[in-house]
Amino acid sequence: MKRIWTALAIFVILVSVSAAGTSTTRKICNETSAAVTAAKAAQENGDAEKALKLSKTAVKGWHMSHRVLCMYMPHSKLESIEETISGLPMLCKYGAEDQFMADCDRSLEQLSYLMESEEPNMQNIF
Amino acid sequence: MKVVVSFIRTILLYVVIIVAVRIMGKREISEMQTSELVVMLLVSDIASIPMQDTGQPLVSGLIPIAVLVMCEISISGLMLKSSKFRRMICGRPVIVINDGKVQESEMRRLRMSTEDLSEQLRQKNVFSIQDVAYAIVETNGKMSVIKKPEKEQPTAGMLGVALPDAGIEAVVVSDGVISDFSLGLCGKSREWLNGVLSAKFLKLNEIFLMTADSKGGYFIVRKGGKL
Repeated sequence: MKRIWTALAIFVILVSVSAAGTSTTRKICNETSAAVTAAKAAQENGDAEKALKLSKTAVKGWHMSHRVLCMYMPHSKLESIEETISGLPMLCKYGAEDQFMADCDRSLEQLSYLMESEEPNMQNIF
Repeated sequence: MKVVVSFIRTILLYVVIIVAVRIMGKREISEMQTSELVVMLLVSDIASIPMQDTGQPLVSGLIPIAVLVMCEISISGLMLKSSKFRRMICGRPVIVINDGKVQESEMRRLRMSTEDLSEQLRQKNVFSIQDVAYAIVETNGKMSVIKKPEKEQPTAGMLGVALPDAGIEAVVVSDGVISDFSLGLCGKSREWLNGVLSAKFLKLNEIFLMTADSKGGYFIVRKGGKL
């Protein structure tokens, strides 16, 4: 009986950790995506200053989240997103609008993929 | 710095594996069920991934290990409760020699050749199939052998010989350290131990190994190999 209780305790811990990991990933990805989307919209509207500010916010937010995500995600996935997002403020600052938009789309795609890959759905399981 | 990370991770994973093995219970490799052996091999394989690749999070090793431990102890707990479940997971013992007759169909079912049978019998110190009354292949793959009565070695009881009963023997001192648990097993106390050492003009820190049995017998090996 003791073994069953031990197994149950391990199960509860595992489910909690997994749920926390999934929800944290979703939250961080949504927040970062929102910031990048807002920066892209600002750039489209011609407000480069706002786009720069929002892209810097996105970068800062990602840097802070990176420390948490590193604990349960392969670092290579996070590094590629880091590389894309880190370049956004400079692209915005120096007026490389086309590249900025392309990198915004790229980072949104990468974040979307990151979120999808952590979802416990049939595609990921099989 | 990756070296330092690898070093720390290896220590952490080593502790986790020790805890996992401890939770799963003590068994020798030769006595494990096939599923238990597979789980142990999986655990070691999974643990090596974050050990070697610092780009993988530690959790990617810890979670699968925890899941395997949880499944293993759940299944072992259920096997204790239900014989049907146990039979489903482990199968049942197969009698390959029944009442002195080799069961060809059972051997075929186990994919066991005559060479395999002879080898397993030899490992049980049986050198002639004719000596065997029953040979059973257990669920962990080991073979149990019951010889024909006329081929069995006579015991002291059969010969009417009364052998002295030395009781249980245990190591009571190991490298100068007393084991109270072993003393308890032999039904002895520290006072008895000190009395023995005093009678032999020995100090505790001079003892490498001392065994004792429940009848009061003892055997001492001093440090430096002296008896």
